[in-house]
Amino acid sequence: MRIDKIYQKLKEQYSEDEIAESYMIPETGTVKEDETQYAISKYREERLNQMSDHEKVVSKIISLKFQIVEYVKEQSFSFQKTFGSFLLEYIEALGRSRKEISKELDLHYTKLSRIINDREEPSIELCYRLEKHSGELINVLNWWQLIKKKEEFILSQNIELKREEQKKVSNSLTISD
Amino acid sequence: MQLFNRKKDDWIEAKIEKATQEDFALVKSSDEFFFDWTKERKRMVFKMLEVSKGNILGLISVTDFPEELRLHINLLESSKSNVGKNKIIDGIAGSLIAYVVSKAFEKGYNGFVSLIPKTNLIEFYIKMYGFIRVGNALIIEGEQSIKLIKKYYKS
Repeated sequence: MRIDKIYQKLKEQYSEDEIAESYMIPETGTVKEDETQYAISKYREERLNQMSDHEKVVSKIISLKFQIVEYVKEQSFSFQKTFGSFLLEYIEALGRSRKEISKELDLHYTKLSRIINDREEPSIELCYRLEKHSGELINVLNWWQLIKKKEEFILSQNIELKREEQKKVSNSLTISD
Repeated sequence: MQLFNRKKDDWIEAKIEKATQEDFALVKSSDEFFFDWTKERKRMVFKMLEVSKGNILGLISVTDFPEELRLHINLLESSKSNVGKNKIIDGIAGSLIAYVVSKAFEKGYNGFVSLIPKTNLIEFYIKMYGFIRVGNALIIEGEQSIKLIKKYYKS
């Protein structure tokens, strides 16, 4: 069935508000799509030129937030996408130096560098500080999930420790297949 | 994400994923959707699933305009059980739109999303979601996009 026919059918059953509440039906009849798409393009171009530095920074931070959200959802873990690497991207998005950020977070410069370079694990305290520092755009859970994802990966890979520790266990439950 | 089930007076867990070829066949054979979603299969289509049952609650078709840094919504449909006064689950459309807006942030588009809806529906989208009018089209970006995400897609 064509889009307009479906729209007519929906109008017989529902009010306009009820339709709008559950659908986005494109205009196909009266609107010249090419012209409208061109108008949107022109407007987009103008808005890009008008964006303030602050808007650009906020936009980058939210972009980073959703990159974290999507990465955390993924099954796989990457050493290129750790808390440290996202923290580095965060600092770069703000356009501030590591020295400035370490002061703003009340964190020793060396400690910050070690976390960025994955030589030291971040704490939950730092996650809370970063939430506040990002104007709550990247929340404490977003940061914490990055730590958890790495820990889970390391846990699954530590075969030696698993073997060693499990040697110490006796009288374990037997589960039949 | 959580959506409100009006019949059970409780919240349900839902998630949004890319639709697969199997989904298009499933949607076509089900009685829950009016539109022919197989026509959208070459576009980017996302489905919203009810986590506990695995059923599709809604679909949204999107086109990426990377040179303009924007996403364009082509079509959105909630399943029939979730339309009108007797609908079971609230907020399907809003959550799908907010998800696309989050994608527009993730891609570095400052949450810029456009659509060209039926003229009679324009006012509703402006009031409900904070879109603004550009000729016959509607757009959302920046702060309004952040507000929309906070309302419909907490993450």
